[in-house]
Amino acid sequence: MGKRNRNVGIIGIGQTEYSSHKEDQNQPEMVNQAVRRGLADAGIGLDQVDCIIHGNMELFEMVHQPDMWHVLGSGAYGKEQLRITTGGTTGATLVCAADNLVASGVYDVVMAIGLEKLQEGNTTGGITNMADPLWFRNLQTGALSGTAASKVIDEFGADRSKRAAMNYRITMDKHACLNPRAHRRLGLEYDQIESLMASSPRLVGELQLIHMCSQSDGACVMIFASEEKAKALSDKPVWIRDHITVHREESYNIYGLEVPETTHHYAAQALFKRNGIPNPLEYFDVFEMYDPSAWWGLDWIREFLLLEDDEHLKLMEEGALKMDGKLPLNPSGGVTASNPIGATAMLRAAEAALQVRGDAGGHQIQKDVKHALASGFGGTMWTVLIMLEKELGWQEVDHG
Amino acid sequence: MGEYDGVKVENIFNTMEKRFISLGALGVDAVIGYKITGDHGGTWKLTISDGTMDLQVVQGALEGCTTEIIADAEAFVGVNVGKFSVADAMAGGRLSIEGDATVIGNILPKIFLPFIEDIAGGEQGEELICLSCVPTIRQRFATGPVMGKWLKGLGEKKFYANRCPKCGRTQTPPREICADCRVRCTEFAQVGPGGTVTLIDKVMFASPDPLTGKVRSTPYAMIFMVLDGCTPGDSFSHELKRSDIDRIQSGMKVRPVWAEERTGGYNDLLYFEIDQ
Repeated sequence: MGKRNRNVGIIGIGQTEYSSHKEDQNQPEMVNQAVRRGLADAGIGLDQVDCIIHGNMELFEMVHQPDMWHVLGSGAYGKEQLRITTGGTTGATLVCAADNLVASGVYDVVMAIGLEKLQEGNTTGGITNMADPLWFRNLQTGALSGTAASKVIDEFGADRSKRAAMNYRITMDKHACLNPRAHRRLGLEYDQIESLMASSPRLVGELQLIHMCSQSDGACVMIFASEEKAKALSDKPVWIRDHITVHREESYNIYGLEVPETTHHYAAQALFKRNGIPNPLEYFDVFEMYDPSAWWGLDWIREFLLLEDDEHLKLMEEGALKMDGKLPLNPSGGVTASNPIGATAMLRAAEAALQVRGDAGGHQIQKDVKHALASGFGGTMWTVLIMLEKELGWQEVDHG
Repeated sequence: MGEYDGVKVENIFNTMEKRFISLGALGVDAVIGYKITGDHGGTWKLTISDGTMDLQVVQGALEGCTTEIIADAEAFVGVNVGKFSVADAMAGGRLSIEGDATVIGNILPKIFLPFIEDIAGGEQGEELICLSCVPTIRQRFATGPVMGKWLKGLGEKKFYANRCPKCGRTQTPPREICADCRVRCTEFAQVGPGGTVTLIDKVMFASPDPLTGKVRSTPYAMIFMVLDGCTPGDSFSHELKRSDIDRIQSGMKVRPVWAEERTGGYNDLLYFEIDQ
């Protein structure tokens, strides 16, 4: 990130409930519910919003120009509006774009809307049908992949790895059960580890149905304001400290005999280095991670927190990632619980901000949350990583 | 807690007659037993017989059922109100099916309107109208000269990788530049045809093949490999011969099996097979 022209605070958050389908609402109505809740949370009216940015994955619902239809629900008619569509990271990219727009001084107040109604399309079909046309379209199986499981099992053995992945899934479900908005709240118990390993249908390799994220309907709204406006409008703005977006070429060539650094690891080391954070595990009070499956989530703890060897498995096994643990992971239940794709990565930042505010409700972490981390993930491996702070006055970003 | 958002087990059963679609049940004969455990649970027996339905509360054991659905009350209501899918409930160990399981996916949705809570205080709305059509869209993508060379090579049973002049890595299939070094890659090298397997993705989930519209038959295995002569980080992927799926392991040598007729495309390669 370049030098920050001015600080940006999150002043409003609005979410719908997440569900496998919402046949009682059309898309504009669903957007409207989140917009109304976001504006009410910020305590402002639409007239105080300078610009609206809209994001979903239109190929999943197969509706062109969704931002135009959704004007009926967003109130964007006659306002500045931009649309962003970056796959799984759409919601996180919306946060970055809103931050950049406000920090730059172009707008004082920006409202970002992320949404998806996956029930109205075919996600796996959408992903598969739109993969690289010259070669990989022939191979793609949507977002399903057993590669993360293979990688973890190769390194740590089948028994320990499979238990850790199921432990991860059950922990996420326990968190989701505390969040009334979460889509899948299955009521899983830790004594079900073995029975779930035996009974859950296999999708690809050791990736089982229970490990995989849901397909959800829902919308999320976040409202961003300049420091001056944020302080005037909000009692407890949550500050955006820094964010990073890392791309690489298509990911089909990352499974050779030598494996390149992941975009997650690259993003984390670059972001923490320039912010002077040598030990993210100690620094952050909560981490909302985009975890498309329990296997990926398990593997990525190590990437994002810059851990080594089996430190991430130990965190899982020792319960350090539970609500009351050292670094609570996805108190909201994460993506295996709720996954309205265009909103999913925004939910990570929104839920992290609610934790900082102390307003998460049933899934609020009990200890004080000052520093929060939120990640976004996109289809063929790219990364957005966002840092939020409760107080201004952090060490300045090193632009070196 | 035997309910979801205020909906109880009895609401589901009490509305069955109202939701029944007689036309959808023509020619259907099934006896479905429901064993619902927990609060508001109980045992019910639903008999569908050629356009008619009969629902009985059962005291004691179920008998003569073609399908039995066993679920806890919350999961049963959750599935009926659309809070989660049958697959989710089964995966979570909350719902199981004995006997003819096809009834769940194939029969019940045709003979009952979905349960919708009567929040507006009015009549049950009309069912959604579904129109089905199969559009066919002809698309033509330009390959560019680099991918073009690769595809032409396949027609001659040859793999042409290209090499980065700066870092030296090979790329299969070849790409216009090395994205790491941001330099053009103009040097091509013939690699393979054999390779060493690095990772196996055994696919059980049947996804649609975007190029035919048909659901792929499973299981199949996608393998990642490093072709002979390529640099270690350069992995290539294709399908494995299906009869080799149970034997394949990382580190094994594989060789390509070519199609008789080749047109310069992915399907010039049928699959790879174990070569040891």
